[in-house]
Amino acid sequence: MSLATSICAATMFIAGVLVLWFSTMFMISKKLIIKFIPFFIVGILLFLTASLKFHNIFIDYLWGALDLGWIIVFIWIFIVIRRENGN
Amino acid sequence: MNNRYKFFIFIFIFGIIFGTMFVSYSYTSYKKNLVDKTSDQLESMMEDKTQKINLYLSDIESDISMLRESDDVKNLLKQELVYDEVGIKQDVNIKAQIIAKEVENYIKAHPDQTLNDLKESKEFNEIAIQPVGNEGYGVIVDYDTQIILMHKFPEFIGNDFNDFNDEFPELYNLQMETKIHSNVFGFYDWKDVSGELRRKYAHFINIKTKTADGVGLIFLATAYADDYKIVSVNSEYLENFHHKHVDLISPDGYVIYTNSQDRNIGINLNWKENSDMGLAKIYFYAKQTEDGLFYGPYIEKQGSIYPKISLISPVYENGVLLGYVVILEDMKEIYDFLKETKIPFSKTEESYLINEELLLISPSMNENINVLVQTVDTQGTRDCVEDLEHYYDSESEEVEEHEEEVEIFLDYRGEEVFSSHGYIPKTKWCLLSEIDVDEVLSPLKEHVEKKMYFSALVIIILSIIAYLIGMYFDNNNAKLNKTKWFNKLKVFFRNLNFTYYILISAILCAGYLFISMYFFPTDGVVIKYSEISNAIIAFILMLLFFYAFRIKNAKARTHIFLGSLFLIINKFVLIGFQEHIFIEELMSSWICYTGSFLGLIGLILIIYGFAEVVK
Repeated sequence: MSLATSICAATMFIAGVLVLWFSTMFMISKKLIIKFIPFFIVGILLFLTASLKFHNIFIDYLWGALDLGWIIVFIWIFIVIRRENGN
Repeated sequence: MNNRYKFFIFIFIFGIIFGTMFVSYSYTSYKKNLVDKTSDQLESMMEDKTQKINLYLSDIESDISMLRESDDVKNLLKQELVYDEVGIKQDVNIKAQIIAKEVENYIKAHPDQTLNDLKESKEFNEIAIQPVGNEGYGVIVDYDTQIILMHKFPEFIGNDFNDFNDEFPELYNLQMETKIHSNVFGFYDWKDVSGELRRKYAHFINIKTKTADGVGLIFLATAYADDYKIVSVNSEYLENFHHKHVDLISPDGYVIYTNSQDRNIGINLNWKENSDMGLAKIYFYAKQTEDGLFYGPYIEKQGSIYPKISLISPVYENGVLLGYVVILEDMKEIYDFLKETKIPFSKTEESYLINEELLLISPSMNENINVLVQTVDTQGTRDCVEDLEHYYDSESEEVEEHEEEVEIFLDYRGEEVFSSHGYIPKTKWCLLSEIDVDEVLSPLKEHVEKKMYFSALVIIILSIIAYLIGMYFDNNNAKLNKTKWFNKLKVFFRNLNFTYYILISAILCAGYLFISMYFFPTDGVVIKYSEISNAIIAFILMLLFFYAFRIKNAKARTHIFLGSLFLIINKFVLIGFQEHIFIEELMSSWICYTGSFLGLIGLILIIYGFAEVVK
């Protein structure tokens, strides 16, 4: 694995840590556990993506499942924002 | 200077610089990719073919070892040799036809030569009365007078065939038949020069072309039947053997047995007339070395479609030489191996064999280069022969390393080719696999053109965006209605029906997907599933981006607006480049890093925006 790909994966890993950290923080501080679940999932997805990249694993159905996860989680976030915004 | 021009010029110049760098990098990496890919294909193809040919030859070696030890073969070689009618007929008939044709060609080539000129011509005599079999020879007879004109033994010249009526009636009858048929053959008794009565076989052929003085000629080839010897028994084992041409040779050179339909049997390889035969050459070589060896390829006889390759081995019993066993095979199977390719649709890829004298021994794509006639003297063939010589000197590691290299040479047409070579040690052949450099690099031009167009498109779009941003700042500075057009845009998107968000997002994503796939096609596949899933994610993010205009909380709006924008850029980078980066390695992985970094910032911004919305 090249240096750039390693750093790329490392960035994803850091992103995963940050997203998990922030979502957990918001979950606790604002007592919005259910609403921040999608971001919690985003954090996990980032971890999974980073680890697959680190280990150079390119299995189609695995990436397909991850992509499906991303699609679901972004739709979820979008629906929550729309509902909370009220229009 | 207004901001709009400053921004425009700045982005345009940077765009040109980065665009040039991008195109140059793209050119270099794609070229390297093409060369590496071709080298791998050539090497693997060459190794595969070399292995197949070596295995094929090893199989023949195993078979001859089996035959050498077989009781059937040993029994046949121990049999007493008997005179053979089939052998003499075939040998004399073929020789008669060949020599008669040569005689006719000579007369045609010298239309002004009379009978006397021909008699005096040394060249014509050498053709006409050349040896047939061991003691046999050619004879020229006058068609009208039936008088012998040329003969190996001068004392027979001038004899009249009509005088043979009483003493050799069979011969006389054959001769008389030539008045009716142009091809006559048969056995007869003949008293040889020592006075012994012996059985002979003759083939008479009327020469169609007359001499300059109008004399018609008959050519006859005749040989002694007892010169041809075979074994009289058949071997079921050899008849059913999977090699369809196995010959047995006695220690003194007689081809005493064959399982081939194409029976070249009973002849002796020591006879002068057979000295040019491939079988005779391999027999003499085996006699000298007393070991098994491959010989060929060689043309066994006129009209053969494929050259032959043969393997000979001496057969011993209790240290006594019983004879030799020979397996003869067409080169067809080896040629078929050479035709197999791993570079589909290639027009210039070819593999060919040369021997240690650089002689081409397999067909080439160039019809002007003939098999077993012309040499192929190029850098590639010389290197290969050099490697082959090193192999015999010492099987060093250096040779192995050199063998695996793919290099660019001028081939026998003077064209630049990628060339890979290997060798077949058993037969001392070199195998070369080559493909034209022009063909390999032909996709390069189209690839670079696409990258140039893409760069130009991106530069134009970015420059326009920079111009618009500059315009916004100009308006801001001029204290003109600073939110005039931006607010209009905001209001426009805020009031837009949600269906239009979906429509605009779908058009933008699909448009980007197809444009990027056009500029960055991956290995002939237009769109891969990963691009589609990324495009769907980008579509959802784009909905979020447009929806951000409707978010009431200003802080949340800005965060989600920018966050979704960054994530969209991240996905767009992946759609366009990820196959090129991770699979084909045509681009630097750092491009991916830019996307990942933007994605990270985008996600954090969206979390903050989300927190603002839901609080």
